[in-house]
Amino acid sequence: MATTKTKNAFGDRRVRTRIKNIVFYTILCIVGIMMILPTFVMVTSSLKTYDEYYSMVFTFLPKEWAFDNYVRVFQENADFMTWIGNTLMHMVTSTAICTISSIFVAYGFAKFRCKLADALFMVLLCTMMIPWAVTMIPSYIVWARLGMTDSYWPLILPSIGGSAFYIFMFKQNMRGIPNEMIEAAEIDGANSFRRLWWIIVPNCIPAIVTMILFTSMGIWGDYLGPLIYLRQPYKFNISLGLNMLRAQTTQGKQDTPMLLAASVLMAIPSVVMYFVGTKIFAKGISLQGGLKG
Amino acid sequence: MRRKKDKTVLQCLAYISPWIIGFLCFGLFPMGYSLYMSFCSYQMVGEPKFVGFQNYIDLFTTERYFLKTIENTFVFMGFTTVFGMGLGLGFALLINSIPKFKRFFQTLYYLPAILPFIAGTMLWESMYAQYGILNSVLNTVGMERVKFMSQDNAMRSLILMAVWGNIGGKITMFLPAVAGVPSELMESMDLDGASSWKKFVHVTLPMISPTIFYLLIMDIIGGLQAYGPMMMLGGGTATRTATLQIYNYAMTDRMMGYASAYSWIVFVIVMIVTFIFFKFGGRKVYYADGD
Repeated sequence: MATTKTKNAFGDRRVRTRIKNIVFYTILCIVGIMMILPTFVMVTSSLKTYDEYYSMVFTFLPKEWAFDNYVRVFQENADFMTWIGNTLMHMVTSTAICTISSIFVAYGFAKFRCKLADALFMVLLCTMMIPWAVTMIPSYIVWARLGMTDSYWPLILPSIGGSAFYIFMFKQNMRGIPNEMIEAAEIDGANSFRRLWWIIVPNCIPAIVTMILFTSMGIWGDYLGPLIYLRQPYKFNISLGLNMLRAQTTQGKQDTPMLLAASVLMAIPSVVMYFVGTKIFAKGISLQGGLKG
Repeated sequence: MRRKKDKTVLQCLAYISPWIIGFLCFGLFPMGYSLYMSFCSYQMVGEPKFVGFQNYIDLFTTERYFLKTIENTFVFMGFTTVFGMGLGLGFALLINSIPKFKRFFQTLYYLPAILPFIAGTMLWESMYAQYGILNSVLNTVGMERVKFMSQDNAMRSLILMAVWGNIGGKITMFLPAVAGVPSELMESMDLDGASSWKKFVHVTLPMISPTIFYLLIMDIIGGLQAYGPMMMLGGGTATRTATLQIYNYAMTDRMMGYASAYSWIVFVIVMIVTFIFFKFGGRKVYYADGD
């Protein structure tokens, strides 16, 4: 009697888990489709002809696949390649400077503990709270007076300070590295820079790669920063370039399919960087686990 | 011993010097200059003219948009935060409790956040346009067209767009927190016959409160400064936030002094809200390691 009762309870529970799972998967799928649908529609709309897009009859897939929208992005906008070049230049220099600075600063905060450093670290955390609008106006005035607007200097130079968020992340990471390893190197006569290069950095690779990828992604898609400083179209980055195309019209309407094609082109590198980044990040975590064990 | 300590301080300063330089040049100096500027009248020609508190007086007495922009800022911040956090936590719990495809769903929900800002803008602009995708869907199923960016609808449309882009990041932050709740605690609650709701309120919520707190702070600070979506998709005064108004005054009208004063008021509001939040919200946060 008792055994059948437990059996029933077990069966009950399994059925309930099953139903629960089915409900959960259904909800996740429905909302997941809603999340992905706009992006999907963006891709299919970018493959519709101008006339079909504005025909006001909605179909998911284009009747006539207009791949030439993608060709037109390059053909009709002579500057498009220049914009990509500008963006890449900005991305590489800013990311490199910002990452290297952040590594040095985090090392200073993590491994040379003193009262002064602790106080300054609090200041660093507080800087994350300063509204962008407060520093934007005076910075613009100063760059304008120096005659350096309409160039990438105002966008690149501030990255020498590193990024507060990643300095914080690196510091946490570096503090996890056992001090014995560092002291051992010190006894072997390695100066502080060598210790950073040979012990700290190899142990922080996942965090560093994460920063490089996410910072690159941010600069690749940066719009609001360049908007303030850049004026002449040939100096634009992709975001500003696309925004300029947005204002152009054909037959009184925006050439939306071509714009969406350009947006898709621009989104591809971001998506690739994200997937590469998460792969490395996941790998890095297991690597760290092995190291600690 | 003393010399070793001095050496530590010097080395520390040497390594953090890039940040110190950056902070002085691009943080502290602009802030001081901005404060000074807020007491001046300056239109990018000639020299700034000191006008005392005139900018602040004007802001509180004659500024037409002041209250409206502050209201819009709080409406946008409030709704995106509440919906973003609620849905983010809800879906993190759902994803955490399913046996398979966790990573798949997490990535799926994160995809909108990967789109570059301008691509997302174009996407939603084409969705909301008068002859856009959503209206052609409505047209195809035989319904009336909707003006998504009219004065009445604009704010809702922008909030929807922001939440769509937000949820993925929230899920990514909530998932490890939710997965980190010790299963022994859950099992002991099971033995007591506690309902799922009780388990959620008494175990999950306190255990993930540090994550909630962190995300809320970030949302509030970020949300109070939002201006990108409104600037791109429009909506006029119905959606104009304080930061967008500051941007317009500074970059279009070149009223640098006035815009600086405006930005300091926003800064003070951000600080007050954050402080209140730390004061009253911080108490409710539970830290497992007793810190």
